[in-house]
Amino acid sequence: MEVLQIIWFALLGVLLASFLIFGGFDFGVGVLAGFSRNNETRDKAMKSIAPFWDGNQVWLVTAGGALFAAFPKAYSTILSNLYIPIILFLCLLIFRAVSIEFYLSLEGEKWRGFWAKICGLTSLLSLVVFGVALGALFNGSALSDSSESVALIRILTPLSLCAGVLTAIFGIAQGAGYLALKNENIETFATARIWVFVLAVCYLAYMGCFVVYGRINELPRLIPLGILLLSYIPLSLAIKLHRKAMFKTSFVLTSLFALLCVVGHSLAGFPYIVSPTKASIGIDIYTASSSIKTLQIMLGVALVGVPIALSYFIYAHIVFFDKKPQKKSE
Amino acid sequence: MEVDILSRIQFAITAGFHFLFPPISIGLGLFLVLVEGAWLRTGDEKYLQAAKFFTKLFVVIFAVGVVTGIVLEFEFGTNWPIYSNFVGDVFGSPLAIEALFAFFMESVFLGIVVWGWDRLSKKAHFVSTCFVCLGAHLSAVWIIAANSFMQTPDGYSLEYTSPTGVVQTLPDGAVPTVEQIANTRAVITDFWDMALNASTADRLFHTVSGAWLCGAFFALGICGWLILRNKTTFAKPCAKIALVYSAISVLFMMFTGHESARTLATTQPEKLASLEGHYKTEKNAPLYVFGWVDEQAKCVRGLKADGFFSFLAFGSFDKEVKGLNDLPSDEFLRKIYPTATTQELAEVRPQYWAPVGFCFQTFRIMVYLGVAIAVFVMFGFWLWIRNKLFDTENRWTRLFWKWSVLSFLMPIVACQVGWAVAEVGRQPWIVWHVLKTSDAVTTTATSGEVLFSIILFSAIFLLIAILAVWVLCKKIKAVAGE
Repeated sequence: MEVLQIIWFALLGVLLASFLIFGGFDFGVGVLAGFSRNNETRDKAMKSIAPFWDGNQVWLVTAGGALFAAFPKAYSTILSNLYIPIILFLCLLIFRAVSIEFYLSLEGEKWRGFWAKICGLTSLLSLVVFGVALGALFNGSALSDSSESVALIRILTPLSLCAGVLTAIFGIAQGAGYLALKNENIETFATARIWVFVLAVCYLAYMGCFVVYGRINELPRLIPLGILLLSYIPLSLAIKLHRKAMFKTSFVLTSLFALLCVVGHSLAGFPYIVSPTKASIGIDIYTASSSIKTLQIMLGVALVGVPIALSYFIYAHIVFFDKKPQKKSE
Repeated sequence: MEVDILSRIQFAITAGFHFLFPPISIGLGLFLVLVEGAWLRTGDEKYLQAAKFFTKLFVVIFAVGVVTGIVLEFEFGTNWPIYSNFVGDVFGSPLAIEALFAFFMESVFLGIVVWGWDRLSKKAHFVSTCFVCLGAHLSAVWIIAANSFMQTPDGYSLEYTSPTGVVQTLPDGAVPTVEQIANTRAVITDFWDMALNASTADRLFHTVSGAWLCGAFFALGICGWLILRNKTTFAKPCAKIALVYSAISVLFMMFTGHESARTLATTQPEKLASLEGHYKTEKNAPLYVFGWVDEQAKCVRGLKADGFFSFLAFGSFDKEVKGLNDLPSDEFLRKIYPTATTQELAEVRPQYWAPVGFCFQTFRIMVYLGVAIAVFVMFGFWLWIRNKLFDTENRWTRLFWKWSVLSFLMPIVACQVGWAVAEVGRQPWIVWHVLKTSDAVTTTATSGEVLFSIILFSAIFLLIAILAVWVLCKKIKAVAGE
């Protein structure tokens, strides 16, 4: 009984990490493109995520679906309690998706300039809101038994705000790293180097915040804390490798950072999806899960489906991997 | 306004809006396979030009479908948490499967299709297009499986956790009481019985046939617009492909529609009775061609064809069709009201009927749109047989192509009203004969918050739709060189 729920807790972590790694780079590129002052760079950036942004977003959709199927009580309680924040997040996602598609659909400076700005703004805000939401789940501020509590304000705790900033900067760094390995030139190299450095500094600040406001639920303190500390290593390695212009490896390293972060936080939060606080008892994986049979069936589905999905991604990246400039055929 | 009503309105708006787009995606996806297939077989450049052109249109429609769909995925949790908790096992699973198998496939391969023309061999690109089409169809499979569970639930049992923490399985066919609902869950006993329940196949095929029509007419209309202006070399051959595609889809649509209604007769009789305004149980039951339902007098005033309801539902004029006056049955109602007398059951029975007048009219709108669609397709074939399909001097030809430009509205509206029939006809149940919609609606969000989200989503969706249509028009004009 318990093993299956632990496995599904881990699987949700995998889906979440996948969204951060895959989606992180295209959200980040969206931010960089949107705030870019050079039209040509902006154009190259948008075109570099064009084939991938839609598929990357599906990781988020799958995580939501998996939460629904594996932990329905968590799905329903979290979403209904975070009504307005979720609605706003959805609006940001909607505008972001159409901004990319509209940008790519037509030419013209006014049109593209406008949609690039929308893309930049919505990508940035989405990353922040997503980070805040994750932080709120982690420290339990997502839920409250009191009907007086306004969700949007309740979730803005020091930890969740730091998490929001960290997620945004991670996305930008990931995006900058992706651009550096796609469009190799001095500009993208410099941007990538700067942002990975900013990310490292930000993460140190976040760790400080975590020490004060974070929490470890049931596992021995050393394990999750250790992993969160270890997460810093790939970042510092990435900074070193950037100097040697080894951008593929450093992209892998920043992705590894995201994975370790998710692992660390999952272990810290375990066995809670939403940690308990004074205001609510939280949601743990044992009371929130669906039946054993469903978990078994869905595990089988995931063990088949996730590798297949990954293979599509690998194929897609192989198809688009080369140093040739991309052109959209007329 | 109460949260109950507002949440229903919000779901109707968001689902209805969403369903304007995926049907075109599904139908157009198959059309892309046909056109690119023609390019592969004939090597004729105009098919390549057509494939690239229609792909660009496809992408815009697909994107709007995706964003409106994401809203729905989370709307179950935000507005219907009791429902989500109740059916997470059996409803959440198909949704997760839909994301994992269908969405990944269609989204990743779409990126390859749109941007990979110069990077892949003809065959590899074609295979990618096929995967986009397959992914789109697979998503239909799983969402219909999930929705069909709401209509004809199977492969499940109800687990109730008492206040003392004792978990018990409710007897087969039990209807949980209002007090039990928050602590009851539907759990899977047999996955395939649950997914491929009594109505999944019928409803899937019928929905897909409607989607094919949306895509076929969309393509046909664009070709028609180009033909009237004598633009592009691909409009005429693609129009022929679209017309044949339409014809097959119409036949498929009519056959599956009939089968779906026949399934209703045995699995959801009161829904079928609502569609026909049929109150009195009788043999030789009449079919109303058109009419008005008098819900007070419990009858329909209109033009009727005697016996045809019996004939269509059961295959013979002599068969008895139960009327709303006897549905749901006393036997079923006693599960909810075990101590009630027959008289009391008769008084409470109307609470378990769907809005009859609404169902009656919307069902007819859908069917008559189907008839109009068939007439339109036959018109096209009549011109084709007489070799006048492209004779733009001929006024009938011009009429046909002018009609074609807006023809996609026929299946689009038919799909919308068809779903209205399916979901309103399911009321008052959210899970047929198990859970009532009114017992499943949220209690956490306030009515102010739901009103806010309704207005916000409506405004955003409307804005996006207008922009999308504008972008599509620009692309169509561009290919015509305007």
